[in-house]
Amino acid sequence: MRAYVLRRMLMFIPVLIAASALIFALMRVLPGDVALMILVGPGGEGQASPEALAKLRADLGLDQPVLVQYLSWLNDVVHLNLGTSYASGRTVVTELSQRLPITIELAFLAIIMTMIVAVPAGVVSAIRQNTRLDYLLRIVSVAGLTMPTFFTATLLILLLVTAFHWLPPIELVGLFSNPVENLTQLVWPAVMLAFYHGAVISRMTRSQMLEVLRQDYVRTAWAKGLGERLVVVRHALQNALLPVVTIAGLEFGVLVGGTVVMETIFVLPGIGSYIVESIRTRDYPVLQAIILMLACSYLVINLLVDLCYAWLDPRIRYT
Amino acid sequence: MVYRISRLLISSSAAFVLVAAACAPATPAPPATQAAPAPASATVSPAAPPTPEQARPTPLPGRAPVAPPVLAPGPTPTPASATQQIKRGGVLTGFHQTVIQNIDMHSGSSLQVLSIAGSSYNQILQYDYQGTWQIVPDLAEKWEVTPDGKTFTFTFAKGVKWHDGVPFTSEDAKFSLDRIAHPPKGIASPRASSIDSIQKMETPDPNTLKITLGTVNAAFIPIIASGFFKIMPRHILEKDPGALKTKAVGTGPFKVIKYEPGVVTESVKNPDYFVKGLPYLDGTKFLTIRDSATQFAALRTKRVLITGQGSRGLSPQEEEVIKREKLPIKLMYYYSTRGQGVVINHTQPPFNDLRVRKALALAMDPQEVIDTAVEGQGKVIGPMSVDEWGMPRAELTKLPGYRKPSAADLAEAKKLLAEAGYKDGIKTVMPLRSFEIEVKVSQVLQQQLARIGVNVQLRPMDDAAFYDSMERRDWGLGFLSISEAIGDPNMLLLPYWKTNGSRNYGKFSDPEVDKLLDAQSAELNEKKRLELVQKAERILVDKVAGFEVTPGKYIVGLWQEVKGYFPHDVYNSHRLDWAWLDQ
Amino acid sequence: MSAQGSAIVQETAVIRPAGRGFWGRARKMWRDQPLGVVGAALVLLMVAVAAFAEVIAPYSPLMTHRGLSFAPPSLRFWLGTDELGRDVLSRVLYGSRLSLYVGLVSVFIGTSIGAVVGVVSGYAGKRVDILLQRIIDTIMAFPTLILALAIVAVLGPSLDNVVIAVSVVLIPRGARVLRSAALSVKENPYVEAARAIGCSNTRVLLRHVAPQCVAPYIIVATAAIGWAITVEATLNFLGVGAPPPTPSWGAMLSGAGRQHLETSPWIAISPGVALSLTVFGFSLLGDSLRDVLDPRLRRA
Repeated sequence: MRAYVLRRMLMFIPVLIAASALIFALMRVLPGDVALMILVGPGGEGQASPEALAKLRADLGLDQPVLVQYLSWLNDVVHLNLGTSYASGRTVVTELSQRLPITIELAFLAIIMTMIVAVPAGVVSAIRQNTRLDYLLRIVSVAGLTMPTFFTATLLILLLVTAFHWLPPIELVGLFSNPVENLTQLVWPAVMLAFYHGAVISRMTRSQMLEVLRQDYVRTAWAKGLGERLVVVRHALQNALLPVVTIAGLEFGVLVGGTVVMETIFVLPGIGSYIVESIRTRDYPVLQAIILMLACSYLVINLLVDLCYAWLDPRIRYT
Repeated sequence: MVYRISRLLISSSAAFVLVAAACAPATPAPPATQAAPAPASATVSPAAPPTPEQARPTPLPGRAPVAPPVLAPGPTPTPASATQQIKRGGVLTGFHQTVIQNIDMHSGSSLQVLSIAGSSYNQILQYDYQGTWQIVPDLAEKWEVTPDGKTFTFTFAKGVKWHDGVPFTSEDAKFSLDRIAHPPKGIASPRASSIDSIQKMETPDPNTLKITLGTVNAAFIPIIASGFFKIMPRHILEKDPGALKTKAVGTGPFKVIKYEPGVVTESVKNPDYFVKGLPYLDGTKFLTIRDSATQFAALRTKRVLITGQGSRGLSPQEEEVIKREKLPIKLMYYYSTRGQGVVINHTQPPFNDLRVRKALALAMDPQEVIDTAVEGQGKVIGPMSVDEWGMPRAELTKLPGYRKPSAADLAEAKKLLAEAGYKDGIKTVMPLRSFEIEVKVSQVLQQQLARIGVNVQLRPMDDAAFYDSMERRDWGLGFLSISEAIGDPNMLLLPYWKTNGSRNYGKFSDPEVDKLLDAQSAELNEKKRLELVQKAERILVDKVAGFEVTPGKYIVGLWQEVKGYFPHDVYNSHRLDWAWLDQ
Repeated sequence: MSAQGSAIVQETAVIRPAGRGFWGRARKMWRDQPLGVVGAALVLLMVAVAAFAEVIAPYSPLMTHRGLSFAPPSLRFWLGTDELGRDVLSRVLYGSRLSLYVGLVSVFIGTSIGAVVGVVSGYAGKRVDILLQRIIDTIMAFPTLILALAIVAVLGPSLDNVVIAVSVVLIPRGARVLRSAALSVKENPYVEAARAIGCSNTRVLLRHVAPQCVAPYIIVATAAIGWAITVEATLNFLGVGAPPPTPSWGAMLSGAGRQHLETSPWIAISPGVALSLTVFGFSLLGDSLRDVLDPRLRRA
């Protein structure tokens, strides 16, 4: 087993290198001069003389060949130096450490809400298949799945503003300084995220439960006269939940990257909106670090989920 | 049983959501505690609070201050009458909309930098932000200039100290101007070229600075009086050039105590400010609010007291809401130099042909743009977008490109195009940035040009790609936002229309215009300078160098407690020395 | 135990099957897959709107009306006007073209490429499989929206580039599903037999593997259409995509629509509803198709 884990982790390296090289190349191919942007500023009010531009480019190391830049960046990363943001002048690590907690908290809240609502919904839907309740739950979950998140979030905001005079939080309070306030500020985007992911999970749960419920051993249990609870919980649920756990784990990875729209609409300074901003300002060091981080977390989560799988299902053995 | 538990979980989650909704903060009550603890109005202070006249710096003898043109109908200055008591105390709150990453004033390129931390510093001279916009002393008590207009001597006020206690000297001023013109490594300086006329600077004593220009520059004083030309401390920046990116150490009336980019910037009053009696406020607080609906909501609920100050103006709908709900918010209007312009690529066909350009001019209807894209909140302007320097409006609005096209105009335009060989029309690409105003205005222009068979493909792109595209000139028409902080022809005409000007993306070039622009820059007599500028403008219009379409009317909302503050981004109005809260 | 069981009983018991004739078949479809029928109806509606937009729309979607910006819904403008005085209803109707075009084309391209990659990967096995899987992994390691954004940013904002971006992002799904389909087919005895008698790989692939992959392909494709349309709308929402003044649902939802949400909600709500209905329809349809085509579920 250990050998398997080590082998998987070795496989990380080519993927990470490929992902980082890809984003490096993409950013360099993007039209636009970083130095010009920095000098001209967000309002376009600054003036940029050729000398100032040349100087800034040399300062930022942009006048060297791309391959050299990439290798020197790789070298920095290996020495745990993620660079300095072009836009703010602070280290990338500082910037990320300010924004990451928000996104992670958002993702966690969404996952918790999802689990509490979606899994039972899927179970109920499966047990009472083709009843009106089932249809209702299926329609709701398809709605959650298909309605674009930015639309539902926009509707939600409209409702909140007109009915409750709500405002997007102007200053986010930290979780530890004021938990209640913090939760009320983040609850709405979390609910929106949970709406979508809950739909995915509940459909998955439903189809897994349906499959399991058709198995022979379940029919045997029915026939034996065991109560509903015993049948469902003891026999069916455990097996059904396996793939659900898988999806949940993967969804977490998707969530962290996928908060872009939510953070844009609810104006939260998290990783998602930071990505969009960095693309816009061509803040290469930041973007590269974020992509590296996201790719890494995706791979790690995949590995953890596979291991979890093996732990839960004794038939699976990794060599 | 499981079924029941599941149902219970579902309904409790629903209940949770509803409860959370109920707990969502309702309209926060306007914070009651913005006044200083002991409202100064009534009893305590032994010395009477200074009257407005006492507080304002008086224009000093020596050379009479240059009076920059006042934009009509600008915010009507209503200085408190001598009988009204100025109250001290209170915190002024405002917002700005983008994340300001560093507060180094010399690198700053957005007015928002000035608004959040600019009041921590002084300039050598400043504009009278109380509404007359004359150039008055700041750090320099008086200044003189030699008759040839090339050597300036500034004498600084005494007793000026930096926030960390170190005394200010003229070396700091010399260092700052030097730093702007020749920035050190790691510091970008967007205004370096605007003072490249400085030949040498001397500091004969700690209170005097002598500057000698290489050529006469009529705009020199207006430029160094503008907001970004802050004097920054030599003793800190010599050792560490990047030290003031994340904190502010200046000589100004406020000290920045908290700077969290993207969140909030807070300042408190500087008790040792060299102008005795100022400032009146206890402090300032600027929030970063990125979403425009939230910005307006913050104003309505009094979480912020002002707009303007480098943040956005109000939209006509928001103005409607304020009037409809009869909110006690003062509305002020001004025209800024901020506008949108169509840049024409003069280096290649089809637009290098004057006939084609004249055809475009005949089809343009800027009033329609203003009516459709900004609901009438703007006025038609020429290449010189500041009224007092531009040609008379009566004359301008009769010329093609600035008037309503008649059927004859459109027919004439098509004829010109046919003459130039474009009987079947022209297809061209127009890059623009992705801001809402640009997208709206350009769509109206697109429609107007379509009427004569010119098919414009709009290409909105982000800033980096946009400037890149402008430089590469792979377009026929471009769309540029113009905004200069200083309403001086040197800033508004030279970079855009002089051959190889830094913002002359279309590479327009006319030797007559170049001559006139250079001449006006060296002309110290105002009347003569105005003549030269107008002459240049007429040529620009005649040769159809480009188009200006300015929806430049700004609506500013201030809660009525706010007094002594007149927003006007043209003069970098951000200083809050004389602002006070009437509460 | 379930409705499907009773359906089986019904079919075999009746002498004249209920499924004869057009209406009989329709009734059967409605009974078996009600949601699918609803989905199909929505899809057909949207396709009709897209095809006949010129006829249905009262105004040109590009026509501005001076001085009539932000007009609320009225008899003249059923869904009001937007920030430049253009009729919202017409823009919504024409916007369907963009979404359907991008949705259908990019799904076709992306899923097909993914299917080819997946089948080759699953069938060939060994090193080819590992290499291809690493590539797919790399694509999947990117948050999909970011990848699409980056691609459009590099290629430039235009309709076709959005199609390319969405296609690329759709490749991994097809690859994964079709790979497992190919893997399971590979185990089948008749495939082994075919190879044993010396059939070339191409022949085996075309005649034995491919037919088994049709069902998964359809399932993946229909499931992806709704998602592709959403991604396209999101890209337009974030500001990249078809340039103005092209009417696009996503673009109408962002920008002026969102900014003036409180005062002029019709600008944002109309395209949002249209978008949701379209994606909803495709998803319901896709779900039902899967229920019908998926061999595993049929066993019940």
